[in-house]
Order: sequence, then structure tokens, then C-alpha cells
Amino acid sequence: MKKKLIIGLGLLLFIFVIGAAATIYNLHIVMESHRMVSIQDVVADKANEMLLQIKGAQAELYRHKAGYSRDINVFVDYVLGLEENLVLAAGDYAPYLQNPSCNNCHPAREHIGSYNETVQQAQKKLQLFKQKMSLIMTSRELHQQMEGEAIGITVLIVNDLENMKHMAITMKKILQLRRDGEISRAAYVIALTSLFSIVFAFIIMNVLFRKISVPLRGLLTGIERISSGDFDHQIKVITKDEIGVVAQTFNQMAVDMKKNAREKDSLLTELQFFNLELERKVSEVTAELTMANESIRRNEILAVVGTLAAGVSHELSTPLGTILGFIQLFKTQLIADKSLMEDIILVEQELLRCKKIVSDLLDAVKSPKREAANTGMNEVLSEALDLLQYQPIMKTIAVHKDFDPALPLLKVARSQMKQVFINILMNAMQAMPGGGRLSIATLNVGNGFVEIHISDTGKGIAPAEQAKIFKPFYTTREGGSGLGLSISADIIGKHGGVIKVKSLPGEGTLFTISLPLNEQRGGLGA
Amino acid sequence: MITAPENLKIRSTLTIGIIPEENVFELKKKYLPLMKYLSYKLAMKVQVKLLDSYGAVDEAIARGEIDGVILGSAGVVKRYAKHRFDLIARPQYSGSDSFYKAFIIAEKDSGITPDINTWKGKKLALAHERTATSIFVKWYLKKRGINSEQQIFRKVEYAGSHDAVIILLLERNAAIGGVKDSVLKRFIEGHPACRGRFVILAESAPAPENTLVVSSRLPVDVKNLLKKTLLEIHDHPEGQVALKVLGADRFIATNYSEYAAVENMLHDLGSAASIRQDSPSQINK
Repeated sequence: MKKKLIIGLGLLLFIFVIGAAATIYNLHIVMESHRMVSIQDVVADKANEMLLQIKGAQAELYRHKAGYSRDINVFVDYVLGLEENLVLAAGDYAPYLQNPSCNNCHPAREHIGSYNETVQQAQKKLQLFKQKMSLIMTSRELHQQMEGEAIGITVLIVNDLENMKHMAITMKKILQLRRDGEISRAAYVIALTSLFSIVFAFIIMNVLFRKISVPLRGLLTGIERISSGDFDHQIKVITKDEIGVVAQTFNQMAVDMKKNAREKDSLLTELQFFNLELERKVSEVTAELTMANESIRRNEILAVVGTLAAGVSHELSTPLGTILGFIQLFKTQLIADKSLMEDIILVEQELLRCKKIVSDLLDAVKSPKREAANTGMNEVLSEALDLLQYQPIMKTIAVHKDFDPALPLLKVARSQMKQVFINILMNAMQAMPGGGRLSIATLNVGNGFVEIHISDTGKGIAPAEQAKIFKPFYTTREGGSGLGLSISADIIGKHGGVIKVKSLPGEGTLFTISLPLNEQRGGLGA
Repeated sequence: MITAPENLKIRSTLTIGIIPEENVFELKKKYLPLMKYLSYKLAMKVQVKLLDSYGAVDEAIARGEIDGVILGSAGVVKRYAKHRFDLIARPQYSGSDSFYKAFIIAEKDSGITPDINTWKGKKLALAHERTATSIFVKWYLKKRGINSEQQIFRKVEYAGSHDAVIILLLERNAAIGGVKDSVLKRFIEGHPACRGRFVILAESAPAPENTLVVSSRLPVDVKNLLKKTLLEIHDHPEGQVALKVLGADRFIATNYSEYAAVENMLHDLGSAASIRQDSPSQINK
């Protein structure tokens, strides 16, 4: 662009210099013509002055001749003034005469030559006049003839001066005509030159403007497009100047911006994913914390319940023992009545179970560590099922067992674990009053855990209740204590395991018990 | 820059008369640059007044028209006692010793020789009867036993100036002329065609060139400054220009004793009765 500007402005300057030169040249010609005309005025004025001087000298001469004056100074001053003017007149056209080419082009050259010859003739006559007049003025003799000659010389000088004046006026007219013509021509040339300069300057300015404005406009359009987010837009690079460099740089910037935008989007997606993951993990942690809190709360409740249960169990044990003693007494005294005996036996069994419950309740509040021993979960499950085998509802329930024969032994409190299984199996049986399918499975899931799955096809548990079933004293069954599942969860938790429930209302419920193998290696037994 | 003392500005004009020893037009042109120089130096208008004859000097002095005059040697000697003027300075012309001689000349082919017998019946032309040249002619004739020009010449014409004498000779209006050698020399330089046309019949002893004298009434400080300016004129560029036009190298001081030759001629002619030997000058020598 700088180069274009320099070239454009240089051309403009050149044009204006040419125009100015043409104008100055024509003005010079006009001024020179005017000066030459003015010189003629000066020459004519000088001729007039010389005529006055020679006529003044003539008058002094006549006065002297008549004897009226003896002061020659005035006369001498006239003559010397005339002589000086003639010298000046001889120099009026010296520049033209000394320069042949200048003289040849002078419009009144023939008059100049005549004028100069006349001046020289007048100078010679004046010298002769001075010579004679000096003698006439200073001699004590009368020189009438010489005076007559002197007067004749003055007449000739007057003629010469009149000729000079006439030639000056003639030359002035010639030069005026030439000057007027040159003024007209100069005006025409100046006007033409000015018009040409303006038109050419306009063309150059227009071209220069286009050369600069078009790329600039493209650049501005590109900037607007890219600013609005259209990074795919590329500015058309049509010049190699500074604007072209700017356009190329801008295109590269657009490419870089596009790349950066993509990276930004990618990072944003990753960030959103991380946010979701974080939210999920926070939810999990929150759930675990909630569960932990629930566990803590349940443990606290259980601690209270345990204390209460210990007291209740202690108080109930004595009356239960007394009742059981009397039942056993009744058995020995009522052996003959078989039907009564059967009822008594049934009461005794129930009392034993009540005693066992109280005993278990006591055991539940005790730490399982004291009775932990290597135990087979398949075996404990079978014992629990056997205990429930005689329940009437079991006649409508199909039991399906899928025990892992290679299931490793776990170091657990056998009775507590059995209580857990009975609780869960009892819940399953009660969930299927019209019959159904009870599935029991054990498996070694690896990663150091053993899982026990107990599922039924019962009525299921509502989602809102699934989180509450492990809370103490929470029950949906009329006559239930609400302690079974809470005690079970507490027992499993004390063994380092976890109990979970999945249930769909109307389809059934699955309890999953995970127990760690490391407990076998001495976790509870330590 | 030419400057002058402040106390000189009270006098406005100083007029110097010039006797017409040669062409009055050339004479005035010669002296104009000198007057211009003196005007600057003296801070007053110093002008030339051409006198149409040697006799006009006395009238001009008497009427107070001039404050000084450039006089020839005879004029100095004759008027020294009468007017009691002061000698200031005279020019030393280029190639001369500031003295001139009076020549008696004739055209070479006129047949006139130094033998005065060849002069008889001829017309004699002189500048003026009061010039040293006229005195020399009279003295020369008297030394040869002729007491009056009329005894030997047919006619004597006083042409007014020395170059007018030469013109009369050239125009054959006179056969013998008395001229200053310096004027003849300058005339021949101005008219090369005249070179070799004249023969010198007799020449006088040297006399001082025309000298500027001023009225004794002129203030002493003006006279002193005028003399100082002229004697130092060759040291200043403007003064050198004036000297060149005058044809001189410098100005030198003039003493009355230098006029002994003219005085002796006048004495021999019996016209020196009024001449005084003592100098009345009050100005610096």
C-alpha cells in the first residue's frame, strides 16, 4: 500500500510539477513580453528627456551667442546629461544584440539594429558637438562658423533622438501585439494544462482509491463475518501489499480460532461428563453416607433396644422357665389323655421357641466375635429351611435351592447367621400367602466376597418402603415386631457384610447378602 | 564607509572652481567622482563650478561664488599675494612626477621648426594669456629678442583651453600652439589618429600641476580635513575610483617654493613685482 501511495502521489506530484512548469513558462513569456513593452516606454521616455536636454543645450547656446550668459555650467550639465542618457540608451538593447539567438527571435529586431545605429550616430555627433562647443564656450574669439556648425549638429542630434523615439514607439506597438497574443496563448495553455492535470489527477486518485478501498472493504467484511462466529469464512487475498498481509494473517487467525473453538467444545463436553460423573459419585457417596447415618442411627436404636431387650429377656426368662416347668409337669401327669398331651406338647414347643427368641435377642445384642467359627453357609441355610419346613404355608411354596458346592467356609457366628436366614425366609413365606416360588442360591463372586441370594415371587415391597425396612420397629405386617430385618442387617454389618434388597411390587423380592471372605481368615475370630 | 566629524556638518556647500584648461565637458566628468568622494568625507556638498576662462577666476572669487579653485601654476603665482589663498594639494598623474611643461608645438608636416624664423607670419594659438604656457611663449620669445608676439606672429588667438588649441591646429585654424604637455598627452590618448602629427618646437622648465587652493576665509578645520582627505585618498577604495577617473595616482602637498620656475619667467618678463616669497598659509603643511 505504501508503494502504491508513493507511486500515486509521485505521479500526482509529477503532473502538478509539469502543470506548474508549463504555467511558469507561459507566465515567464508573458512577463518577458510585458517587460519588453515596458522597456520601450523607458526608451521613449529617455528619448523625450534627451530631446529636452539637447533643446536646453540649444537654448543655452543661443543665449551664449547672444551674450546673455557666461555661465557654462548649465550648458555643460545639459550636454553631459544627454551624453549619459545616450550611453544608457546604447545599453537598452545590449542583451539582445550580444545574444544572436535572442536577437534573432526578437519581434522588432530590425528596429533594434536601426535604433542602436542611431544611438551610435548621435553619440558621435555629440562628441563633435562637445569638442566644438568647448572651444566656442571658452575662446575669447568669435567662431561664428563653428557656432553655426554646432547648431547644425544639434539639429542632427534632435533628428536622431526623434527617430529613436519613433522607433521605440513602433517597437512598443509591435511588442504589445506580441504580448497580447502571448497572453491569450498562455491563458489557453494554462487552462488546458490545469484541466489536464485535474482530469489526470482524478483518474489517478480513483485508481488509487480502488486499489486501496476494495481490499480494505473485503477485509472489513471478513472481519465482520469472523466476528459473528463464522470461522470458516476466508478473506479473499487479492493483493500482496500490507492489506494482503493483514488478510492472510486474519485468515490464519480465523483458522486458529476455529481450532480453539473445537478444543473448547471438546473440553466443555468432557467437563459436562465429569460433572455428571461427579454428581453421580456425590450421589453415591451421599447415599452411602445416608446409609452409614442410618446404620449409626439403627445401631444407636439397637443399642437401646439391646439394653431393653436384655432387661426384658432377663425378666421374661424366669416366668417362661416357670411356665415351661409346669408344662413339663403337665406332660407327666396327663400322659393318659393323648389329645391333650399333643396340645401340651405343642404349647411346650412354642414356649421353647419363645425362650429361644428371648435367648436369641440376648445373643443379638451381644458381639458375634465370641462365637465366630468356620461355618458353611449352605449348611446354615439348610438348617433354617428345616426349621421352617413344618410351617403350613410351606405346602404351597416351591423351594428351589442353588448352592455352590465349592463355597468356602466363612468365620461367622453360626446362630446369628441362622437367625438372619430365618428372618428373611419368614418374610418371603409371609409375602406369598397364596403360594409361590422361593429361590435360595449361594455363590463365590470373587473379589473376596460370597453372596447369598434369597428371592420370592410374592407381592413385593413398594420403592418408598424399601429404604425403611431395615429400620428397627418398622413393619407393614400386622402383629410384626419390626425387629427382624433390622437385627439381620445389624448382624450382617457386624460381620463386615452388606444386605441389599431389590423388589418390584406384584412380582417379588430379592435379598442379597454379601459376606467377606477375609472374616474367615480371622476377622471375627481375632 | 566614508564619515566626517560632526562639527563639519554646519557648512552645507563647498564650491570648487575649475579653469578650462581642456574640454570643459571632459573636465567636469573627470572631477565629478572626486567631488562626490569629498562630499562624503567632508559631510557637505562639494560641487564643481566650471569657469569659462582663466580670467573668470578673479570674478568668481570676488563674488564669493567659489571657495576654492584648481589653478594652474601661473595662476597660483600671479594670485598668491593678491587673494592670500592657501595651497592644499595637487594630483600626481599616472606616469608623471606632478609637474608639467609648457610646449610650443606645430603640425609635423607644416614645415615649422624650432627655428623661430619659420614661425614668422604664422597664427599662434594659446589657451589664455594668463596661463604658464602663454608666459613661457612670451619668455621664450623675449629670450630670443622678441618682446611681443605680434612682432613675429600674424595673429594670436586665445582658444580658452589647451585642447581647443590643439583642435585649432588640427583644423588648420592656427599653425603654432602653446599647450600643456599633460593635456597634449591625454588628447592624443583620446584621439589616437593624432599620434605623431605634432612636433615640439620648445618646452619649458617643469612647473607644478594644477593645484587646489582654497580661500583663506575657509574655516581652518575644513581646510585641514580637506587636505587630509586628499592626501589620504589613495588609501580608500572609493578614493581610488575617483583617482582613476581623474587619471591620477594620488594627491601630494604643494609648497609655494615649487613655483620658482614660473616665478623666474615672470621675473624675467618684469611681471613679478607683486610676488611674495613668504607663505601666508595657516593650514597644516
